[in-house]
Amino acid sequence: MSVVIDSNVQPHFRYNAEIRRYLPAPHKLRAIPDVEQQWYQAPGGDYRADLYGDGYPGSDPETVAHHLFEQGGADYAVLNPLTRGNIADYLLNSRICAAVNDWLLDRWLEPDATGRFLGTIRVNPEDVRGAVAEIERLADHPKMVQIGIPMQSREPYGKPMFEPIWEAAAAHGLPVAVHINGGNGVDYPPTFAGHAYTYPGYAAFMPLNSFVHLATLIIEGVFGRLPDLRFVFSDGGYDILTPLMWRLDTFWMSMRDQTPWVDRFPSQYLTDHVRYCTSALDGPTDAGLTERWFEFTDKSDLVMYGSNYPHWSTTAPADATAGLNDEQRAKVLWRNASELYGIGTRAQGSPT
Amino acid sequence: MTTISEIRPDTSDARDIAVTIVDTDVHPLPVSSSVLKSYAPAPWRDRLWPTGNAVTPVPYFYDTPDSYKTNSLRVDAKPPRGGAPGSDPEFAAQQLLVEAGVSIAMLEPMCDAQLPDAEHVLKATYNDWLADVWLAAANWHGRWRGAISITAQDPHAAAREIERWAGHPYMAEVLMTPQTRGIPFGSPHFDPIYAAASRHGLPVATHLMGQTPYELIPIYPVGNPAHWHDFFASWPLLYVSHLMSLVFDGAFDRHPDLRIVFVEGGFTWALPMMWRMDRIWEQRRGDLPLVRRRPSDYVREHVRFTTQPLEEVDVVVYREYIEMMGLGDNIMFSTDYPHWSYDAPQWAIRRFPAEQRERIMRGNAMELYRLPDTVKALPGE
Repeated sequence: MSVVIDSNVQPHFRYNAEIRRYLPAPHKLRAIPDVEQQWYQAPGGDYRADLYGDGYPGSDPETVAHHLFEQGGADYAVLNPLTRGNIADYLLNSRICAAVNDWLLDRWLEPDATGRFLGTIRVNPEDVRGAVAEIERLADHPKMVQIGIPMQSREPYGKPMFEPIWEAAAAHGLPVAVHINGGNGVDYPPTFAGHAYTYPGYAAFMPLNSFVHLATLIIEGVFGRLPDLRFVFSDGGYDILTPLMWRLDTFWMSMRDQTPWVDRFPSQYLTDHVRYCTSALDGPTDAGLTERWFEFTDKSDLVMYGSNYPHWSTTAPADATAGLNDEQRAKVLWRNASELYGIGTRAQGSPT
Repeated sequence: MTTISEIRPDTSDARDIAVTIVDTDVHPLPVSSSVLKSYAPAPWRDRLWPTGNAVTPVPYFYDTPDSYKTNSLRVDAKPPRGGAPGSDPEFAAQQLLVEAGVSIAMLEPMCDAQLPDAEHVLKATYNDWLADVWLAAANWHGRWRGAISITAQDPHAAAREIERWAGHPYMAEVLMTPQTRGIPFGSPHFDPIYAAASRHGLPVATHLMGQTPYELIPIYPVGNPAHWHDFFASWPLLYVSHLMSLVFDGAFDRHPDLRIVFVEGGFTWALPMMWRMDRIWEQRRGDLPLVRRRPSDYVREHVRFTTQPLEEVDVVVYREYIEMMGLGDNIMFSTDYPHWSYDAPQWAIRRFPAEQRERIMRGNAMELYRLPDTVKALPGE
């Protein structure tokens, strides 16, 4: 029986207004988007249909623990709560992030005596000073294992204005997890060709936007300057990684004069700096191809199991690793996450 | 303007040779703006090309290598008689057809304008110029094929332009920008274009166009990179966006004869994106009422990808990947002559798996464009 680390779980407030209990007085009565309030909500709800009803999906720690650990077979779960989108008032957004963090500690991390829940410090990249301050406030908490930011942004994360945030994260040894956010914000259309006309057109495309963050983090030299910086793309999107990294490698050779600080092939930054969580949309539909496909761009060193619970696309460990060989499976199910987060000495010592 | 009846290829003494290589992406240029202007309707001549202070109007926000000095064109492709690379049909024939060994080449001019009516006139002007300068007397050998340039901003005008050229013996496809100002390819907005192209058996190819005016830059959903290499490495995601829209929004059922060619946007992403579409279709079929078949089936039937720029990857690994994709019926060779990132046929061919080479180098394009088995040999061939 191997150990399993679930690197991508979204805990939720019991009800949308619960966040107001964690906001300071001046912000308690502000307009704040709800979690499932977005242009591209899944028809019928974003979350697993069987989880609606008795409380909001993913909102009860005991139920979540039961689903993930007892039923799902995971040993650890990294909790990465959504916030409410890149709302126009970036200072309010920072307060929302802080409230989410306080709630996560209060409701999930502190009461958990088993040590199986680990947490994410949510910050708002549109408020760089605030984000750095929030990292400094919480980085030393033993259960906080990463920084969390939205996929949505009006500038890719390699641009220089964000760098103080990445410096703070790297200084504390905390990876930065990028995840499609909830709520509603001032965002561009989600595909390169504009708005999607269907929910699947949105949901299938959106994770691929992570490549633009990745490409700019490499080409702007962020990874080169910050050797300890790690990025996690929690929605997957590694199916397009090999084609686009090959393309970036190829063009880089012709463009080195413009970005001379990129002193190696862009793909050579991946192993030291980049991880992806598994998703229900990545990879061959024919499991017979999976093992071979996984070896392109050394994906077995980059991919970590993430259930995406309680999302409708929640995947079980067996489904997420179908078709992989034993070594690939061990890396995906726990080894990569264990090394990245420095968690689970118990896991590292366990037989696989 | 040349009319179709004026084209009488000289088929006199030249020998017939077998078609071995079809190049699906070649860029002709007018030898000067005054030549191009001469094909424009008089009232438009000064409106389409306003004169001003610009000495070197750099037509893009992202500069490709050596763009200021060479316009990112191959310096060795500059015709001895003068003009920019790609502006002399005879020299291009010598360099691309005779020396590089291309049997038939698809000519795809690049142009755009800010406003729909101006763009329509500009595209029509390019069509008249292409037909006259490249596809008439200079095409005595029948080895050039042209793209009908159309504006995507005014689909009804575009459909009329397709009708205007549909009977031409050498106009072989419709060329539409992928920079559609926020309208995905699967939108009914483009139906008049697809209907006209389908009616005449013309594939619709799409290729990067200019980058000015600003709104022609696709807005990357998480913001735009600063440099050409991260910008253009991400460019295939524009094609992925259009492809998902074509499939999910029902364009191929509305237009069963429609064929789309994604030019110069990579092709190694095709299979993973087919998996991705299949996976979400399997899980959320109820949210895709216009999708009547497996998404990857639509791609195999309706979509082609051109090869240049081939990625610089270890040849064995690359061949193994392409073999894994199993899309030998959907990939078509291209050089991008005379642009800086030109892929030579002899360099490219060994990067394809042996059993896919014939289809990639010529077979798929011959079928799609209904090309002949033989062409006239040029002097020196």
